[in-house]
Amino acid sequence: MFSLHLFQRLAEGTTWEQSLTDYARYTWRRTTRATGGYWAGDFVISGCSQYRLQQLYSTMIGKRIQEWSYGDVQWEGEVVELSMTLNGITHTQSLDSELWHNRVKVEYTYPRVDDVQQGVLAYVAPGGDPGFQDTLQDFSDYEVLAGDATHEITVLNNDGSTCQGYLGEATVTLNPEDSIWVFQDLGRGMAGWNGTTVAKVPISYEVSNVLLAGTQLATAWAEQTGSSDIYGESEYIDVMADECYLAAAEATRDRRLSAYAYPRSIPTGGLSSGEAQDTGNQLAVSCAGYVFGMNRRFYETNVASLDISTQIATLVAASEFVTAGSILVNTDLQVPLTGGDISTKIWDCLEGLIGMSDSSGNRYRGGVRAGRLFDYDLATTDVLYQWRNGRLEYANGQPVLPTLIRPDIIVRLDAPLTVAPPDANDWNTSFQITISEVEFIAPRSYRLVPEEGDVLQGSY
Amino acid sequence: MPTTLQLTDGTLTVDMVTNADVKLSANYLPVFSTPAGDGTIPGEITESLPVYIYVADDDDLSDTLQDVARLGRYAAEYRAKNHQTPVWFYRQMQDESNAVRTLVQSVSFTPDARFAGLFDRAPCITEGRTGVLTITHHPYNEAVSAVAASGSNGVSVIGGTVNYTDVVGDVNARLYYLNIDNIATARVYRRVWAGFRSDRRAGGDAGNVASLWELELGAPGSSSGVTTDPTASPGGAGNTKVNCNFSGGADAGWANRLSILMSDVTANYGNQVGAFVVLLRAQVDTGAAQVKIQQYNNNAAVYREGPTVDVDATGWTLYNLGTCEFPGRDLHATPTALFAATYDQRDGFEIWARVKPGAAVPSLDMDCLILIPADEYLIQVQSAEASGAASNQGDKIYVMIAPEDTARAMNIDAVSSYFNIHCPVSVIGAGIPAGDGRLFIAIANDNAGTAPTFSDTVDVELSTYPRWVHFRGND
Repeated sequence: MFSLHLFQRLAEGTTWEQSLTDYARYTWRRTTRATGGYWAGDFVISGCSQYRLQQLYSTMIGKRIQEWSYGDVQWEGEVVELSMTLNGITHTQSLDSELWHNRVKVEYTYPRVDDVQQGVLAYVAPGGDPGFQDTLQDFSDYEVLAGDATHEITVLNNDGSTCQGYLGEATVTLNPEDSIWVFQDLGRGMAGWNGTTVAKVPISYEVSNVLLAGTQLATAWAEQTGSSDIYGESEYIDVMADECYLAAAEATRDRRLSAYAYPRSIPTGGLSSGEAQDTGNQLAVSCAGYVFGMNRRFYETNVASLDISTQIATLVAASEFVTAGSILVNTDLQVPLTGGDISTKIWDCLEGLIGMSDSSGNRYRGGVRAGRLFDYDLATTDVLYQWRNGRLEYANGQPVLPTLIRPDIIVRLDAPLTVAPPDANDWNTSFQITISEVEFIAPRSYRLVPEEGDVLQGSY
Repeated sequence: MPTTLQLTDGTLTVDMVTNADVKLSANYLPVFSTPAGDGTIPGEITESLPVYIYVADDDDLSDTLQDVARLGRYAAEYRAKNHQTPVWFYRQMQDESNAVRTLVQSVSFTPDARFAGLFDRAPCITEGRTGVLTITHHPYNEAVSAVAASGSNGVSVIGGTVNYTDVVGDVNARLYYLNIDNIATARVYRRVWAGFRSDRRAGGDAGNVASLWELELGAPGSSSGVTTDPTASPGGAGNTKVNCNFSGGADAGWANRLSILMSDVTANYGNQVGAFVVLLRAQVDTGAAQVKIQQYNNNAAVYREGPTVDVDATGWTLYNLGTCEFPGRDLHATPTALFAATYDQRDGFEIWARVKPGAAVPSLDMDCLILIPADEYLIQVQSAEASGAASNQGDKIYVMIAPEDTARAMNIDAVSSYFNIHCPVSVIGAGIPAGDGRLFIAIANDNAGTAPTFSDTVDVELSTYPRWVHFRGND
């Protein structure tokens, strides 16, 4: 009823590599969703040589999978996890974004305080202008010779009062650069302190960057192109737990990139003691639709409110492997994109947009289909199927082939007498259900997941 | 008793009839599988053969046991796809005219101690060392040699047909190979559909199955009309097509663009039975359209809808619109005797189309539907998506089915006779139905390279291995 084929990783090409049909004939299963499209799949390879298992384990991760049935692609995705068990030991490799990312940036908080007291403190007036001294400090790091001040100082006095000022040029009182002139304004036009220093004894101080102190910043993206050229991009945004400067954030970024740029094989589970070691050699393959791959990129731009279909097309265009298929023009809704404020993964953003109804209450569905094409369209309102005698049939009574069942269908149930709402639409009538997800289970079974209610299970 | 009973990989043989080393110790009764009525191949068969090993000494014993073990290893290696030759189990009963063979999955020998221990030599020189030879094999027995190839030359690439006759056996035959040859000048063939329809399934004569439905014979719908086109197929009303212009965009949404009934195409309603893949030969001039079929019987309000398909090529090509099934009525509830002809002739399609959202408004040309039988044995070859053709002028496309029923397709380069590329192939069904029938062919490119024209032809040749669940007899 179906065949399963392995292709190159999309970042490397589109060439067909081999048929997996024999391996997956009785273990293949996959799901498709009305919102999302091709969703998840998995199968188990067993009964072949150890060499074959190892060869597949070493080469399959990230490669493209297509299920063909009756002459057309019925499911498409990529291998995202492999778990190989040989002689009782299991190794796993995964494209989970927490375990694999080749494009990284780090968000960090600029330190609120750049410097504090080092030595003996005093209010001074070198050359007659107000200033401040720390006998063991080097204020040249914070001096400004022209333009606005970059740093400010806040001094705590012995009586609990504070004085604040903007730092100008460093100078010497006792030691080189141990003093600095202070201004009341950022532009350094008025020498002096904000607050009185008369009869005050300074006991501590904080120097802060005027613009950056406590602000949220981010490093530039760094990419391991050797990995992305093979597997495609996988973006990751790390967050520093503590305040730090750019150098530390960049070092963290680069270390993470070095550690996670390539999928790693990790031993999982343990030796099965007391049991035969020669049983259970297998390779478990987990696949995901390319809709998940859209979440490997962040959208980081703000876009003013536009038609929702325009925004959907913009997001789709920002993904790496998915392109626009059939995107219904929808001018009934206008929405902004706020990725500049909060970095958002592309599919997460799309999912939210698809879930929005218009002013007429119409519902929409969207997702990735064959060819990595993204569709967006109205959800169906036509009843074209029925559930009878434990199987799904077309309205004309013919059974539906399991591999050809699509989500976003309305199924009339062979149900006893029910009460319909007075304003019943096809899609909310009590004896009809809308199927939001379908699962094909080889060789010929299926599950239909309705928006509400129990799962329907059938076979051909 | 059998006259032939042996395990062999073509080089090493363990013969249980004529070989003095391993002989049957009791009457042999073959184990048969139970064919599934849904066309799938049953599970493996395991047979336990009581044997005795009749040898002169322990060296002789080790030779014999090693032969058995080697064949078991070769069978396992072949199964694990380590490029080994297969191991076969040959059988011919005493009064049977022909032998059969079946693919061995595993072999093992288990001694028993009926006559002292296995390694007590003295009694075993006269009585033989006994044990059980366990053989697991494919559920079907096939002919020892493939049936000589047959086929036709000059087969049209849009719904052309090849008759096959006298496929013997009590279950579906294994397709040894399907060869598509003599590809036309400067053409790119990247997709092949080949569907088998038996006479039995086709109501007695697969020759009456109408695979080519010329759309101009139907009734054009919204914003559609019949026009002539020298590049459209000449069947039906001649070189004509149905064109839908979407009224320049004013009629861009989903609407019925064409209706066509079975009675428009053929009067052999009783032969149009079963499931088919529906291919549409179509093109656009610009932009893109989306097309879907609705299959109905008489009442267009109750229909079976196919998937939505993008039509965006500016040259003629074939689009897969999903599957259909005739008759539209429930055969169990409304048998042929009650509802023939006058009912089934009302089976038909509506072709619905719209301008693809976001695309320029096209002028959509629809030439014909090609119906390829899909529920007995369907083969679909799809070349790799990378640029470069599956086959060019003079190339051959071979589809081969290995003994373990794995399908392979490859393109043979015409110039060098080397394998050009291996192609993914999908197979539905267990093999070619026994008896007589017809093979239906459709070939297309996929928006790349020069498309086949309606006049293109190929030479088609096929060879089979007939199969039996039970005895072969005199077939």
